[in-house]
Amino acid sequence: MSLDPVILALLAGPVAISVAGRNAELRPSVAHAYGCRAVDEGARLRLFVLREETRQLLADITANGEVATVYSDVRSFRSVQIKGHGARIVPCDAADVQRRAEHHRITADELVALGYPRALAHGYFSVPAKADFVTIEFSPSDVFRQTPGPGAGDKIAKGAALDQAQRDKIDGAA
Amino acid sequence: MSTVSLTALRAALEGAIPSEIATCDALGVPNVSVISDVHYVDAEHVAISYQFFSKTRANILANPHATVLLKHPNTCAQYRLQLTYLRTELAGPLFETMRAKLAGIASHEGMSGIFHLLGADIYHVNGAEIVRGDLLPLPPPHAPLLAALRQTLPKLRAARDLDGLVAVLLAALRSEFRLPHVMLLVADDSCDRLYTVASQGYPESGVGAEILPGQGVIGVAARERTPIRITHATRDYLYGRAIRDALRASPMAAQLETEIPLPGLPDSGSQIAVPILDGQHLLGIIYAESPEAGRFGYDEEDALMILAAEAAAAMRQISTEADDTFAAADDLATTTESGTPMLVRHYPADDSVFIDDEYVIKGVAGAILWFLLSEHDRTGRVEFSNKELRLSPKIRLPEFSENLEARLILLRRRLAERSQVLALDKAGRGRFRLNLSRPVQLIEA
Repeated sequence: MSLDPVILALLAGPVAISVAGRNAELRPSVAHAYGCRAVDEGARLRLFVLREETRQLLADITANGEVATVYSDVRSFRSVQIKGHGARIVPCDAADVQRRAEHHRITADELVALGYPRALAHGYFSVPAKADFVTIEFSPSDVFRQTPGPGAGDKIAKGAALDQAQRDKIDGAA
Repeated sequence: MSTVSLTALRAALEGAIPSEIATCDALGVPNVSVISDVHYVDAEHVAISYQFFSKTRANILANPHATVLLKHPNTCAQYRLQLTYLRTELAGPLFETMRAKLAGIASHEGMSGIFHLLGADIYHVNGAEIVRGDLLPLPPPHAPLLAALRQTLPKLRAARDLDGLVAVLLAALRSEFRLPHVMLLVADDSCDRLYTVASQGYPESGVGAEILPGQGVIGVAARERTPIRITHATRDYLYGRAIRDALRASPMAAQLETEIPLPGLPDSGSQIAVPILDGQHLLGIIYAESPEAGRFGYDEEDALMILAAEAAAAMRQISTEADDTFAAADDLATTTESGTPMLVRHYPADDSVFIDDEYVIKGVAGAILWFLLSEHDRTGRVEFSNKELRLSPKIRLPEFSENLEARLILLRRRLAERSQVLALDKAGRGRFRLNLSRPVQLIEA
């Protein structure tokens, strides 16, 4: 499925991103992602993670392909959760590298605009010079509203090209 | 990735930067949520706020495993906690501590009124690991708290009376702990109110101001016997008008001090109130605030709790020693009174006392003042002992001696602020002297 333009816009903006998986004992794993890239209007999502920070997560995804990702706008806390099955670990490509640099810049700049010290804002996205990045790629199967509070975040669902099943999912808190 | 003790990474548990929690349902579908607060309970437990029924909550009830990603607010370090859900607390000290903290976080994030705590979900911490280490240096501490405690505790233990203890506390909080805006409140013996005996760092001392348990940061700390700390001061716990309105609306309003306002910073950024406890008996509250947001962390809370525990021990010691001076009632020393008489009016209904038509004090402190002036008027005496106050049927005094001493400190400070002609001075242990520079005319209203 492709993603609603509202959601694609959120993903392209200054967002904090996290990825979760789980192992065979249903113990969850979680890590920070350094950006994401939507391919074919969101039919596939590619998230960039540091191998050394995500060993358990990568092992879990390799074993069962289950993935949950959350994208939270650093300005508004407007958030969306996108889940998928059959996720794969693939090498980063050139477009991933470019998108990661862009994500770092816009998100850190936004944090600075919000009043965070520059060193801190950039620090959260900075990585070692020889950082070993990999890409988690998956096809979204479910989208959930995730903005804090039971009644907030309706705008993500409203007036968009979401089908009814997705709207129902968004209305059910994730 | 290296493991680390939970206590060592408490700075990442202040809620300054949102955290993420991953869970998994019984069918194996993972979920990840942004959460505002992971709260440190002890070296093996954290609590996470339960604010509404979410997928996270449904998951942990079905499958108790959770993993949390934390970020250090200063160094960019990241930590991961492996957790197992144990239970949910719906009330009590931990719940109130978290509720206050959450209100501060919500205010900080522009979400006041959106975050409501329904429960405190308690988790066992199975492991803590460093995902990435410190990138930036830690800022230097505001004050070296261990050193501050080491300097202060012997002085507290050496205090011979409550007045001395209050002086030690105020001086230490200012110079050793670097907290310029503080108040000390003592609990009434029945714990149905707290009254301010001393403060520093405010234009008006507010000595004599009262507060009800449950009202604001101080009142909640008093009611729950637990420290309450707000890292980003919030309307939910503000003082001033709301506190006075609550006092005036109380069924006990006639007995409460509603004329003296509690002091407070107009632009308070952080607030902390810690209870002074003798077991579960509340003796008082140490309160500090700062214009700076995020000024008080877990370490400040720990240090003030140790200070409060030592203050409680010192108060207990003082109260057992206080009565060893017998009253000498035959002192007829006189003061040099001259000029036009000062008009002192007493209203027995609430023991309020007015000097030259200006309100001074009411309640127990008002009764003490009236007793002293009446005795002086009748016998010419100016020296009195704590013991005779305690024994006097005219003053409905609580049996705890620290409470009598606290009332005397309050009265002495209040008189010093309000009157040029009437003062109470210490005259040795358990004794004090009434100093009058003008004659007094007493009127029982």
